[in-house]
Amino acid sequence: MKPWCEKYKADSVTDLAVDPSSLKKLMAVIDAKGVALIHGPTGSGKTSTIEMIAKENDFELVEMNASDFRDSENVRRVIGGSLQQQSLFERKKLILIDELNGISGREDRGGLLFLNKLLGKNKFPVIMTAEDPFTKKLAATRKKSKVIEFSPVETERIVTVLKKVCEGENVPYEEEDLKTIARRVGGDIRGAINDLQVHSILGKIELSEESEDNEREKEGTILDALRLVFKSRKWENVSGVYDNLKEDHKEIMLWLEQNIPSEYGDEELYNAYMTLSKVDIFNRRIMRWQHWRYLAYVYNLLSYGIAFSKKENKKGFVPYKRSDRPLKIWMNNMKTMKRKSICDKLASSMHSSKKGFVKKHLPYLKLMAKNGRLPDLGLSPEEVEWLRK
Amino acid sequence: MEDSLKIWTEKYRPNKFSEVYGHKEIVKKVKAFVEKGNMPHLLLAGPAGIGKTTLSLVIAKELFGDNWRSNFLETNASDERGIDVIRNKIKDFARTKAVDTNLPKIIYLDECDSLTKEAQQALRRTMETYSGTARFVLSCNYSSKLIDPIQSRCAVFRFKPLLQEDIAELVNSIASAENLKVSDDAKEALFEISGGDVRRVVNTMQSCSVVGDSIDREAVYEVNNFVKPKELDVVLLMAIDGKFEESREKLLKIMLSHGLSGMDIIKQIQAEILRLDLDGEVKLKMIEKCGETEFRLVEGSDEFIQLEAMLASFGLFKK
Repeated sequence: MKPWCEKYKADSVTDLAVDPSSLKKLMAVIDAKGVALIHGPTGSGKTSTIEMIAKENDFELVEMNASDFRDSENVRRVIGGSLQQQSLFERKKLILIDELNGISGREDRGGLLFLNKLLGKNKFPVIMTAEDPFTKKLAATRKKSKVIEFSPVETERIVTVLKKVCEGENVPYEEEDLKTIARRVGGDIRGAINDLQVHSILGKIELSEESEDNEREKEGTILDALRLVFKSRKWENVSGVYDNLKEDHKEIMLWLEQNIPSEYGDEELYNAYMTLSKVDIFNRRIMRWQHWRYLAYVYNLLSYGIAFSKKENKKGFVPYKRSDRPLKIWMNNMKTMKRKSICDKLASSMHSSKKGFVKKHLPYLKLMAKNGRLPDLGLSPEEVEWLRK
Repeated sequence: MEDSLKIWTEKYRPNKFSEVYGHKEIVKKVKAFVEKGNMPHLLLAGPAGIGKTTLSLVIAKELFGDNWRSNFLETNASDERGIDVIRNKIKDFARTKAVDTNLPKIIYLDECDSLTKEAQQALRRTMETYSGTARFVLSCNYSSKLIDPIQSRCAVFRFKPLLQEDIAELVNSIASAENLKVSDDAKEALFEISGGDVRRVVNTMQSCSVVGDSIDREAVYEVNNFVKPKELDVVLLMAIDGKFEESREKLLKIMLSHGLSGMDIIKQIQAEILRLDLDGEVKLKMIEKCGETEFRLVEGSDEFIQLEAMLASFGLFKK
């Protein structure tokens, strides 16, 4: 028995949930026997489309994917010949090189180099697929290809397909449930069908509440971790508390740094920040010596160190906040750019260094601007406005 | 450009030796050098805003007249402190002879104390090599920051803060030129806030003048309060008071709005601690923490976390 996603694969190109304009571009490349690189998220129909086109036009499909892609010898053996020769049965060929992203930069290097050399000399259309074509590794390949984007499949489109599957499998459904499934997969039609199969295993669709909102789920985990670390003094509670977070140690530090004062005071506050201070020094040592083993101590200190900064368990609910320091710094940088342009313009005309200008002249200019009588300094209106604020 | 719209620090910058306020002895000697047409390299040392740059501009203007711009190179060592400036910019300029005259060109190097030691070594050689075509005028706040070989190659002039009567003279002449009424206590206030810094006096006067035609004591202080570097003492006091969150918020704001690095701020905090009105023992403990924090700033990667740790430690010192 086939998995549903195979069973319900579209059976004509027009059936596919692919954006018609992308399809048109692709067909043009195939007609011209050119080279195309299609990219798009998982399940947006890249491979299916090619397979379908080959089937409908009676092309011989020569396929190669990441697992075949070892060295130049291999590439030559699999596609080298068919790139340049007519096939025995006089059938037209379509060459598909799937999952380019899966090629390892170092080990498969020879293969990729060889492929790049072949491109442009091909006698048959060559279509390649990649999830992300903009990596450095693929730069040379990209230059030789027409890059075509497949956008994620629209939710409504997925729902339509899911309905068809339900009808085919005699699964009773609520439209809402199908929509939920479609929304969760983010444009991955294959994933949606797989999910449907999982959720309807008992004869009808049953959706659990989990992962309703991916964003919130992840936020919840860092918040839970903070709660454990701040509230508890129990060794077991705190161990491995950051293991399953998407946040790295730097981000965790920002969260801690922001929220320590809302849980700890006096001595505890001091202990906790001293711990962060030590961690920060470890961070620098990691970078300087490239000794990533130190990361173990970073995590130990961030969990046990912060938890044992207090003498006893904490009670009560405290809402934790995300650190706004990075945002403030960013906004400030935007502001400083104006300041810099003003300095560049004026410092030398006042026989002053740029640094000196900021201290010795800028405050007075701001005051004059505030009072609406700035001398004529050749500043742009935006710069004058910046001074006034 | 209409005169009333100019920045006064430029508008009233002296162009001749006779217009320079104060520093009578220095001006007399430098003028004599210029008149003889044979000037040694000069080193002008003294606090900010006192007339070092102005004097060097006057030298160029008196030597070369209208042509002064093409025979005068002004470089600021705090913007371009590396050895490359000495190697390229200065050498290129010094290599050729002055336009229309046999006099040596003038190279003015401002804020020399921020040149690296390597750049100073390079400078020393350059001064000798090009002494046929150029004279250097160096300025700095502290001559001790310059390596000895440079000091020994220059005639050194030490500027003292301007006297009250010099400042008063300046204030009067600007006031009459701009039709400003400046009350006597405002003059006193101007001297008080200036600390002998002429630039600050002139900038303050212009800032007052945009509000009205007369300047009184309050106006002077108001301007001064607006422009004064701010509130680090407040940050420290809040930290000691246990108001950690307010304190760090304010610190971040000061750092960002003034574009200060962790190193800049720790230097200022160290100086500020000494000035705080607190028990000596507490201040000593704070200084100790401050030093430790500076060490960790150098060793660590996130400056702000180290500063926060310091603020948190200050909270333990409250009574």
